[in-house]
Amino acid sequence: MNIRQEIRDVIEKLLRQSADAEPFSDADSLLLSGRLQSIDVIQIVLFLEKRFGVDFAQTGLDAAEIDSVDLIDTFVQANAQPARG
Amino acid sequence: MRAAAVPTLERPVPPPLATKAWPSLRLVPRLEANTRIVAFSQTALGKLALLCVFALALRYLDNTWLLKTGLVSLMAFVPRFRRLLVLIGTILLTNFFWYENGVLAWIAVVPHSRQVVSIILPFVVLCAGLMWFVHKYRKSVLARRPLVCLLGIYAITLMTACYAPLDQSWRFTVWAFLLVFSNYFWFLAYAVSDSAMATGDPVAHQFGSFHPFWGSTTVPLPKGLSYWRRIEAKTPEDLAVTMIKGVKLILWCLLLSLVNHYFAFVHQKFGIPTLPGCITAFTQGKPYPLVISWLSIPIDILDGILSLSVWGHIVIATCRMAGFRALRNTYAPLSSQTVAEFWNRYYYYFKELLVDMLFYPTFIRFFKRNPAIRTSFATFVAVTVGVNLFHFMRDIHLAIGETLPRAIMNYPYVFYSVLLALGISISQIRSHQARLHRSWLRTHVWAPACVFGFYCLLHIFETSSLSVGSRYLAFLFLGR
Repeated sequence: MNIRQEIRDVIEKLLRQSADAEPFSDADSLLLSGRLQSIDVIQIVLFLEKRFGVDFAQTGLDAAEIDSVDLIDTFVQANAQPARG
Repeated sequence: MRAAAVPTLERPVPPPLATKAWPSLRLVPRLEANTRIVAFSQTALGKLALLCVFALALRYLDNTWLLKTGLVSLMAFVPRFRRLLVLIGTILLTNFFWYENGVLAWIAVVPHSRQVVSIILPFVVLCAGLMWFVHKYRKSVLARRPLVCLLGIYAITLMTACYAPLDQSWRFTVWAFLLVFSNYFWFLAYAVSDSAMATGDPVAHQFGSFHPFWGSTTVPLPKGLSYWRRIEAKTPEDLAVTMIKGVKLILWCLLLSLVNHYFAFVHQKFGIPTLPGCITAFTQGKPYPLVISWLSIPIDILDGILSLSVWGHIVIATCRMAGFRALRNTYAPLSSQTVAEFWNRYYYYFKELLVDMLFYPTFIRFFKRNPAIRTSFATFVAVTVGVNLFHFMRDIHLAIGETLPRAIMNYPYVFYSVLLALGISISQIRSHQARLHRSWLRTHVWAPACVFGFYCLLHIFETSSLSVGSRYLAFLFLGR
């Protein structure tokens, strides 16, 4: 499974939990548009840490950097730890 | 969903995730989704129509409607000067630079008011200096930990005001400086964070966000400039959609203000006092009957929600008319199914302030091996430290003439914040999955009622001290 699809799966799951059935594209804003909340950011952070070894204590956490599938993908490309990714 | 984004589709949209069991009921139609209306709103005539409707509604809600309408009109027709116009508007509507009217009036009644100017100037220099410093030295401690450094500066100023051997004139100056600092603390925190970024806005634009002209409390609405950049309308179509949403919100606000106006009659018509009134009567040994005492709690909260909604909608609607597609501050809190959701929907930008400044920084650094402890600890830090810090700084004027330890001892929000943190933590940890399989009645009636009940009880401790609140709670349940 490619990275983008994995990210989409996580986002889909979070949207389902919020009973949000609307479709979304890879470029759609998810946090700034209000579709996902700060509690959902936690789930995204946990996923990125576990799956790609991202160290947010080093990169800092700006929710706007993980606002869409595209942005998360770019963020992962820049910050994934090769050993775990 | 708080607000829908304009879809920017780069790839085929997948089919819907699930079929909704109940069709969503919309009181306000989605005008921004109608291509003909959006196209018309991009024309000069369309913009004028939107601005006229906005002005007519704002006239009944805000005394400064004319100036605000003038400013947003200029922004609608010359959007490339938007940031400059925000700065000008902020200066105009805060009377003297971005020095808030209320504070100015408060200081003016105190002797040595001639020193007001000598207080403003150092504060402006301090703000500009901090922003310049973090922009130039992005790896400095101030750039990496702006909140900690600002709190350090604040603490030193507070200690100086309380304990330094100063004559009366200088002590007043330091206290007045501290009041200004308190009023702008969270704006400065956002501004310093933004200035530390490579993409940060210039210092002059940052000052435009210090109590911007559309309104705010000591909570920045809507956050700082890094957020503004992301929600700012970039195309004529984007601006049209944002303005339509602004007009819709101000009309909704007008309706709510009408409800709010008549809701105030409840207190008078049915003889139901406010919760503080009930608690005062109770402490004086003349409590109201139990039914009245119980009824006063939800009515007090509903009153608060309505007032906050009306105020927040005016601010956000004006902000949207200026071209920033900000989310609403209050969004249907009574439909919340969890304590955390209510907290998110009740006063969104206050919650966001605590999340940005305290929750995220704590979450990414501590207890990384255990997600449940990690989430709970970050929530406790954000809610207990955040709520207390915020209110202590907001009400710092109450500490004037008191010793600092006594001011801290008399501080009323500690127990309230601990209860709130506990409620939010538990609701965050509980599984989402379990909630998905609930019946309609449980989802839409029972869960919101329980959440509202929790906030009703919590409201007692928000209104009174722990000892008075506990005794009042015992009275409510035991009748004595």
